[in-house]
Amino acid sequence: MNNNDIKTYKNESQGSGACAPFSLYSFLKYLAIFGAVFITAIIQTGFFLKWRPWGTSPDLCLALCVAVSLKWGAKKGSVVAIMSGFCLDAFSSVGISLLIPFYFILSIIIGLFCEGKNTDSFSYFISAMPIAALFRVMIIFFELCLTAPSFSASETFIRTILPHFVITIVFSPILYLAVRLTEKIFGKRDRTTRHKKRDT
Amino acid sequence: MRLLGDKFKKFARTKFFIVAASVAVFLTVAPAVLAMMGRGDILRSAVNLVATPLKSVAVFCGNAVDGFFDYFTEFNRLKEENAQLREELDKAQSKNDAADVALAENEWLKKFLLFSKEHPEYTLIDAMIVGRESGDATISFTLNKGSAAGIKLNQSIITPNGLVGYVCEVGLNYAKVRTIISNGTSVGAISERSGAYGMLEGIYGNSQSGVCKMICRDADADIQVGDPIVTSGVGSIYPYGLNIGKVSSIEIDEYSRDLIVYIETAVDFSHVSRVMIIGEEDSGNEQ
Repeated sequence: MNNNDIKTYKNESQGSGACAPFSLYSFLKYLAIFGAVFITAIIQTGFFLKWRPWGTSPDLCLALCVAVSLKWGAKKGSVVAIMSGFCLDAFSSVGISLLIPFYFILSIIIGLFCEGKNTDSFSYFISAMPIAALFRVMIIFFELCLTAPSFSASETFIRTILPHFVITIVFSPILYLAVRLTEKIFGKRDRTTRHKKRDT
Repeated sequence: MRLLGDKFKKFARTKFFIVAASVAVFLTVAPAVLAMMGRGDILRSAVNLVATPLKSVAVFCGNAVDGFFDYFTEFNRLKEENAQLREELDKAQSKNDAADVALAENEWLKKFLLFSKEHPEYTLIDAMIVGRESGDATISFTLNKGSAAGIKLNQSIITPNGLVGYVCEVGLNYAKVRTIISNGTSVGAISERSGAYGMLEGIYGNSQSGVCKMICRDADADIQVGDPIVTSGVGSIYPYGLNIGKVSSIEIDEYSRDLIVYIETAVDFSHVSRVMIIGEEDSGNEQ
């Protein structure tokens, strides 16, 4: 794929706002995406329940949102973000949570920022992840300030903020590879369909 | 940044953004509102219904991985804990051993006290055996007290069970004891039942068995198996009435026609570790 193809591909999926015609294939694709988000959320909350490297669990859903936004743009990224936030809230949160709005806005910003650029490479992903992780830990810090007014900032930084930041970045390439794999499975047919539409 | 802002404004006007943002706000606020109203969140419940079995699998896998890493990360902690527990165990065992010793001492002192009450005429001195003869461990002992504690030559040595021997040598802080089963000692003895008299001697080469013999000149002496034998008080060493043992068998010497009475001693000479020395007698009962 050259840069023009990438631009066309992304613009068609983001800019106009027009929805593609619904088909069984699209339904299965979105079901697969939801399934992937579901599994990711389960792994984040279940697999890392006992085994917590450096005392924390990595934010895999955040990495998934970033990878999808970079790969497929703001629209798909925001859908994945809503699904991820909802699943995480359902599995582990109590009361109101800022996960859904945070993931939603982050995915849109990343998707729009990368519009028109070839952001398919791993270097873009690994550059975006620390920024996303930084915003995430800021949200965590903000939530702590709201829920636990008296806490030690230095202790919290060493025990919660820094480990969460580092471990999220360390485990994020796994999600990048998963998204690349999904793209290989579904992306070929998508590109063929769009090329046919453009040609007609 | 300005370009991003323009892009965002354009995107925000799209139908997709309006629908998606509404859904996001709804999914954020609705569960909290439902929770405040006391109603369950249907959507979250539905998701959890499907997710719970899968989460169990994920938790199981996570526990397995945690157990695997624990092998490496917990090793040092377990090693330290092991060393600490060993130390605590050693201390507890020492305490236990000390408690056992204290208990044994308590039992001994109880018997000591009981014997003192039964024989108020005796002055008793408590001592421990700190050495035995290397050849035959039952012939003679060394005690940990001597003249400084009031021990004198020829004083009788007993335990609550019976007669042990007499003091054959005494120093400032030690005393040597010759037992009644050693060859060469003789003790005037009588049957407590019939009063039949004899002279008790050790059996040469047989001291390990704890059996000694009493020779009665009177072949018709009334002695039976099982008779308790005590000191007769004849002689200058042993006072009257100290328990020696019980008759185990009787035979007649074919040459001298003396009655040879074999006595099983009341004291276990192989295992005795504490003894009492009968000191100065309070009443005038010199033998």
